Amino acid sequence: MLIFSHDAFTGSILAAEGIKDATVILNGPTGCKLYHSFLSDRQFPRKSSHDPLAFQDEFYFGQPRVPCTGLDGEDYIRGSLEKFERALTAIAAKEKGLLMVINSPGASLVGDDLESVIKKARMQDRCFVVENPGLSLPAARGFENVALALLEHMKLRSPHLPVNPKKVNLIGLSLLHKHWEGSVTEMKRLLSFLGLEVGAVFLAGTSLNEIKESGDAACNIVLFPEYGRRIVEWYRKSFGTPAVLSPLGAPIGFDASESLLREVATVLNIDPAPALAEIRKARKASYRQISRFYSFSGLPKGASFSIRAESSLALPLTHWLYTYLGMAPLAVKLLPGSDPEAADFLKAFLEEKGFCEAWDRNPSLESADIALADGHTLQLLKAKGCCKAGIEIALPEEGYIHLIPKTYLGVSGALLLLEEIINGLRSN
Amino acid sequence: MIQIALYGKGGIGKSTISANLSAALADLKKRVLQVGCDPKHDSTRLLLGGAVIPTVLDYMHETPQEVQQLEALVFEGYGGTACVEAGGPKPGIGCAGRGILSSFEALKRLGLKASSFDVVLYDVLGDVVCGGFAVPLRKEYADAVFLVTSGEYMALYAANNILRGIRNFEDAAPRVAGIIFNRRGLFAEEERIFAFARAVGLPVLASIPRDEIFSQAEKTGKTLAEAFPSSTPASIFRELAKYVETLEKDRSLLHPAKPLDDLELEALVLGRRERPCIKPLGTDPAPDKKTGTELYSSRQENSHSTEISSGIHETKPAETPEEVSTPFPTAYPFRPPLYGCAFSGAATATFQVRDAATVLHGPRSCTHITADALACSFLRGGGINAGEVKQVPGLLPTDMKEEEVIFGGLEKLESKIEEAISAGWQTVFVVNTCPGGIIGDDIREAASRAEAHFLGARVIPLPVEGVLTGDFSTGLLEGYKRVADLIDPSVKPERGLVNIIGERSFSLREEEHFRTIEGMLKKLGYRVNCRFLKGTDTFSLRSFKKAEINLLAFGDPETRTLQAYLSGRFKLEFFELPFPVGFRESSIWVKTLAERLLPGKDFSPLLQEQEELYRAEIAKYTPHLLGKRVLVVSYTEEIDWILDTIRDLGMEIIKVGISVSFFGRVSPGLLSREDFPVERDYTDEKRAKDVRTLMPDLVLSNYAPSGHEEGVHYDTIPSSPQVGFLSGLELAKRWSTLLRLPVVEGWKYDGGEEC
Repeated sequence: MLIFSHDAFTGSILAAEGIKDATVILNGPTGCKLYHSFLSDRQFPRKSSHDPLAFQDEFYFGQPRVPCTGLDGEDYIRGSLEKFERALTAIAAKEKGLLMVINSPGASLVGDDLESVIKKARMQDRCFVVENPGLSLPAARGFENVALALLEHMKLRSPHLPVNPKKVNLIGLSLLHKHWEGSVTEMKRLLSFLGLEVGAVFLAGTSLNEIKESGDAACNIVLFPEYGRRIVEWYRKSFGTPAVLSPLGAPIGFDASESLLREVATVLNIDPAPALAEIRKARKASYRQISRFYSFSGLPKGASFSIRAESSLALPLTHWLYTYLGMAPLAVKLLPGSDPEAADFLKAFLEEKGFCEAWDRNPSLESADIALADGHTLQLLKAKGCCKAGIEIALPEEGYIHLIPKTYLGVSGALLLLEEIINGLRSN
Repeated sequence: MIQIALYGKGGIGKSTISANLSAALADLKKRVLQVGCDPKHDSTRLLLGGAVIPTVLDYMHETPQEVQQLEALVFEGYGGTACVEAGGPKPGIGCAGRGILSSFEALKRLGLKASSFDVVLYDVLGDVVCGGFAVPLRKEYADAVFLVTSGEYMALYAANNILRGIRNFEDAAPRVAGIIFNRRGLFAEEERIFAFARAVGLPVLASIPRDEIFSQAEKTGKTLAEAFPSSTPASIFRELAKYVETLEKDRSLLHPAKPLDDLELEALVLGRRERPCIKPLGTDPAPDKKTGTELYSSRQENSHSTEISSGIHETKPAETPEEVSTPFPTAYPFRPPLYGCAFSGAATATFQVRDAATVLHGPRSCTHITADALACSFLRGGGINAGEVKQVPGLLPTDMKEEEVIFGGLEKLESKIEEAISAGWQTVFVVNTCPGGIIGDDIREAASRAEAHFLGARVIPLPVEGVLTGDFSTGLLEGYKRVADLIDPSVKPERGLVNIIGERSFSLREEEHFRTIEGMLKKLGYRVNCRFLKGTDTFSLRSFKKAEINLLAFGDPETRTLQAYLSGRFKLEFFELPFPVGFRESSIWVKTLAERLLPGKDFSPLLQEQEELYRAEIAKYTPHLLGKRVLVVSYTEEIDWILDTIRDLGMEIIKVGISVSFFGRVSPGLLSREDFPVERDYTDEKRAKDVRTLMPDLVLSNYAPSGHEEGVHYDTIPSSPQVGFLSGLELAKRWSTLLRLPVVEGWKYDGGEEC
């Protein structure tokens, strides 16, 4: 094995880093910091410079994001409070907004009372601690833990707010999701067809203010259930806000996108017709291209695919590639932390369609026409001859730099996927 | 509601006292919760008829989180007391402190609210050795602390130490309720206790007699309130319970923690006012300058000393002892921050052995961070070709979870090693992370057990525990050393073979460099035997000593350290010059290596040919670059090849700035004899100022700034320059083109503000 998915530690840090006006302070060694700072800056660049000379302040170690206390072995033994106090003072002076302190795995074992330092600095309103990053738990769990800790810390206003019938929140989107910015843009676009505006995006590119005002949303739309189920449950208990989840996981492909928009329309008692018309338009455009490709090649029907992804990606992709394109699943491997309901649904679906051998099968054991996975996995699969073309649907990325915002969600996402699949099959 | 933590030396009787106090409070109709914070989980036995209840940690370990319930952890004891045991790992394994932290988190998560009770008692393990055991001292828990002690010196020492710990948690509000004196029946014990109490400014709240009745009650699994309610000791607990009731309403009864320093304590308890003279091992004894030194002796302990018997002393200020100089400084010296961690460094080394597996003992995050970098390098650095199946080195993580951290991870580690061997890996390295190191998982033990079980397999533990061992370079070196264990020292060198030492793991040009050097060696009639360590295998490593000579890829301190290690261990021949960059270095390199390997053979035609080629190429670019002024900003002083190229092109070096290192690395002063100004600790601001005042045509730096300054071209210094004769040409060609392009490209006007 060579490629390992993120865990809750990364999920925690990237959750907090997804807030525009918040900063993570990592209480830990630079070895834990360097990667996360790089990842945060790449996924959500905020500074115009990447030059280490521009970030020479103590605790930043030449990087713009995720300042850290720089603990070493001695600090594990003697405690980190002194370094933390200095770091808090320096970083609080430099950064605006909320400060979230996250312990590295090693620091979480030492048990230093970081809260006492925060209280001594009288920064309880501005700063809070996530003591336990979640050792080896899935990234989604770390994400939700931080999100819930944030909601508790912010003490959002009373539940008796008048509901804004035109407002929804998007829940369960992380900087760890590929093309998160394009996904937000696409969801906003599609929801505008329902006359809806998006308030907070939990937690990718949103602001503290948007979170503060999120309690009056008419509903919460969950994009990636592993990253949002517990959060929407919190909103339901605190504000009575109903949650909408597509039974097909994330809104990937026409079917899942349509299903989600219909659900939203039903819950909010809105006419979904304008949104569905947009999807129909896209379906017609895709028909024109697919039909021509099909008539010459018979494809994409019968072409094979393999997937290695979280369940909220794997489920709608498997369903759509099978039902819409007639492609055959060879291997569907879920990453740790997948949503159990989605996993069960997917397994049952494969069994029902006669592809039970594809369930939980490692893509490196098959030779598929198209593989859908993260960048590293795809490179390895290609090198081993286990796929002819790959579509990078998740991090870590192979390194391609995107200037045009893209997404795999919604209508634009469906069209992009179709483009990549057809051209991938063409190149075989 | 009041929350009380009981602390004291291990075995002093805290649990017995806690349980009896809880029972007495229950008799006062108080709603009481007692939380045992000790891995022995026997705090609440006496309230439960001797029963042992499931612990929080065991429950969390065995029960999926979604079905966990508080009711499974809180049991009803005598008088309706609520009983909870945190639990913990077996002695010598895991991290009990982390266990306490996790227990408290779990109880909070499951909804245990202190506010549902009138009194919460935390019975805490004896020695507060880490932050985890101090959790009850945190403000959100204990409002008050009772110190349980006897008159023995070590018990008082522990109590005094606990006051130190409490002081760390105090802000303004005092939190110490007082002392509970658990008598041992020693001579003059009471005087000691009261002397101590007065010295630290605390009341003695209760004096518990040594009485057989406790043992009798314990046999029945009961407290005195239940077993012997009319006894004198039971009445003492009733009084103490009433005091707690008073304390609940009146927090002004609490006191600040005022620990004594060690000398004061010794003087008070032992009557010792002088430190005994000590000497480092192997030196002459220090002269005993003071006569009549009052050294404590066992005779004095039992004798009726005039000092103690004359009554309770006021604590005198300790006399200044004769200082015994020690080699250890009292202030902690500044430690520069570590770059990366040794776990990553070690795994980077072992990963280069393609037919070996590395078991990574730690949480998934550590594996992910390291493996991500290794995968990038492997997949893009020429390690694998499209459609060609090649061996992928094995990385097997143990993915330590919280339960392994608390209860110990060795079992999981052994299982993972077994998995690696069963999968066919005959050589397995084992590397440890910070968490594995902090809890003391002994990977050597796991490795040796695996080797004993699987004959023929080689399991090599690395002496690395994440950042506890040091930074990335430290780990890398340790990795190299353990991989070197695979070298067969009995192999004899053969002519015509060389090894390459110290190639970079993460450079994308390393294969290109290797091919260049390979080409140069071929011209000398030599070939490469083993690359230490880059894409090698166990066979090449075993035959490592076949090489006649070893060539260094780099000349940096880390590679030189590796050189010294290998040389010392295996008695190897090394060629001192590292891979050459640029024409001049390459000429010297080839000439010197040829003289070494093939003395008397004339390679001047080869060198002449290269020189003609180089000069002809350089001449193409000189017209565009002659006289141009260059400012160089670099992290490293090893830039001779750039300076040579600049000179060969007829350009002028106006200044070199060496950037400040975030990791405290000192510049080696390589440029001190140059004829241009060199400035160290060079900052962004200094660069901007020099650009304005010195007006260079070209600024070379490791990172080109995205901002723009009119009239100045910027270019980056390659992090991995091309090896060989022609590396300067790559730059010459680029600069020649660059200086004919717009000084400021259009896109640079579109940014500069924050995104």
